[in-house]
Amino acid sequence: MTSQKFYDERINAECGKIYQRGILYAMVVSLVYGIMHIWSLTSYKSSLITILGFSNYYVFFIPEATVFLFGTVILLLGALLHGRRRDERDLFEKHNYYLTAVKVFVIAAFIGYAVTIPFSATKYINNIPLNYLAQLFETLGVIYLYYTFKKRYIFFNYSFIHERKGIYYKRVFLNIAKLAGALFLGFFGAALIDLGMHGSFLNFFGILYAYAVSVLSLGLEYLFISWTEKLSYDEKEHRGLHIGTFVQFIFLLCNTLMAFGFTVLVFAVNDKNLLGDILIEQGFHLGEIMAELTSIRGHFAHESSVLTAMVLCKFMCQIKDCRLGRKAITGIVILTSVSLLIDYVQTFVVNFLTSKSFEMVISYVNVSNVMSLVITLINSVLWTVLIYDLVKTIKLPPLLWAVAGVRWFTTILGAAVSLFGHQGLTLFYGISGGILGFASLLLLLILLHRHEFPHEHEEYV
Amino acid sequence: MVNQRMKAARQGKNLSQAELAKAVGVSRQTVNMIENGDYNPTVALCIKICRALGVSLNDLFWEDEA
Repeated sequence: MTSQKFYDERINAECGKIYQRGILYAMVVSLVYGIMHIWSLTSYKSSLITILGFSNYYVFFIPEATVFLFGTVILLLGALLHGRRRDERDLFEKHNYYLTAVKVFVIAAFIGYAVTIPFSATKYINNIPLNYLAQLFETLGVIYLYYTFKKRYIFFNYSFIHERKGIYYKRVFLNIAKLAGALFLGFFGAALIDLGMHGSFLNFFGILYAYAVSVLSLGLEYLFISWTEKLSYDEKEHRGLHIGTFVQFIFLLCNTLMAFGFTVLVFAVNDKNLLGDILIEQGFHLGEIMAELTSIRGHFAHESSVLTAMVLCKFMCQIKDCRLGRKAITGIVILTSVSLLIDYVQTFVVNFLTSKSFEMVISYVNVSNVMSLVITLINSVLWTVLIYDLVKTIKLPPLLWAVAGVRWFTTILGAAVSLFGHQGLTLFYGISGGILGFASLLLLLILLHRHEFPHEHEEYV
Repeated sequence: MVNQRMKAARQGKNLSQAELAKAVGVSRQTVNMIENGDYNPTVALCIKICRALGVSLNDLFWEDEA
C-alpha cells in the first residue's frame, strides 16, 4: 500500500486555531508587560538618561512593541484574507496561514530582543540585558501549547513522530538548527550594529553569547518535549502512566528536591548558629550569597510549576472519562500561568514603588502575600476536585486523599506564616512544606503508576 | 457515533491504525478518533480512507436509518 504525503486536516485545523489564539494571548501579555515596564521605568527616567547618554529610553520597549506590532499585522491580515469563510477549503487555507504566521511571529519576537541590545548595552553597562519578556513567553508558551495539544490529543512533532527513532531525532535536531539559523541573522546583525556604535568587542561577543544561550534554552526545552512525546507515542502497551508522563514526573520530583535543598541552604546561611557566622568569618558577603541562593531556589520553584502543569496536561489524555477532573486540570493550568505572569510583572511594581516610598513597598508586599494566599487556596480546591473525580470515576485508591490533605495543610500553614510572620513558624513552613510536598508528589506518582487506566481505544497491532 | 464498519474494514485488510494512517496521510490519533466517533472527517478524507480500504463511501460512512 502506498503512503500519502502527510496532511492531517484535523491537526491542521486545531493547530491553526491554537496558533491564532496564541498570537492574540501573546499580544495581550506583551501589552500588559509593556505598560508595567513603562510605568516602572518612568520613575528612573533621569537616571536612565544619565547612564544611557540619550533621552530616548523607549528603546527598552522594542521587544514588546515588536510582538504587538507583528501580532496585529498577522491577525489583521488573517481576518482580511480569510475572514469570510465560504466552505471547508477556505478553512484549510486559513489554518495553513496561521501555521506559517506563528513561525514568523516567534522569530520576530526574538529578533525584537536582539535589536534592543545595542541600544541598551553601553560601555557603562557590562551585562547583556536579560529579555524577561522572551523568558515569560517561553514559559507561558510551553504551558499553553502543551495544554492545547494534549487536550486535543495531538502529539508534538505530529508530522514525523511516526518515523523510526533515527529519522525522528534527525528531524528534531534539524528543527533546532533551523531555529538557530533563523535567529542568528538577527543577533549577528545586532552584534555588528553594537560594534559600530560602541566599538566594544566585549559587547560583540556578549551578544553572540546571548544568542547561544537563547538557542540552547529553547533547544533543550524542545528536545525534552520531543523525547517524552516519542516515548509515549512508541509505547505499545502500558499500565499506569504513559512512559512520557512518568519521565516528566521524575524530572518534577528531582526539581522539587533541588528547590527544597536550596530552601534549606537559605535557612542555614541566614542562621548565625549554622552557616551564617562561618561565612562571615571567611569573608563572604552574606547578602550576596542569600540573594544568589534565593534566586536559584526561585528558578527551581518556577521550573516545578511548569513541570507540574506539563505533567497534568499529559495526564489529561488518560482520564477521558473524568470530566470534572479535566476541568480542574484546566483551572490549575490557568492559575499556574496567572501566577507566573504576576511573578514576572511584580519586579516592575516593586521597582516603581521603591522609588516612591518604603511604606508603599510594605503595603504592596502585604497585598502580594494575600494574592499569593488566594491563589494557593484556589489551587488546593482544584486539586481536591481533581482527586475527588479520580477516586470516584476511575476508582483510584482513597489513599490519594493524602495528597489533597498535604496541600491543605501547607495552605493553612502558609496563611499562618503570612498572618503571624514568626521566624520559627516560617522555618517550620519552609522545611515541612518541602518534605511533605515531595512526599505527596511521590505518593501521587506511585498511586497513578500502579493503577490500570481505562483502555484508550488505540490499537498498535 | 462509533464507526464499527470502518474498524471492521481496516481489520479485514489486516491493517493497524498506524498503517492506515500512513496510507491516508494522517496521524494515528485521527484514525483512532474517526473510528471512535470523536471526529467527523471531511468528504475528501472519507474518500481517501475508502480508497485505501477498497470500499465505497456508502459502505463506511452512510448512516443506516434506525
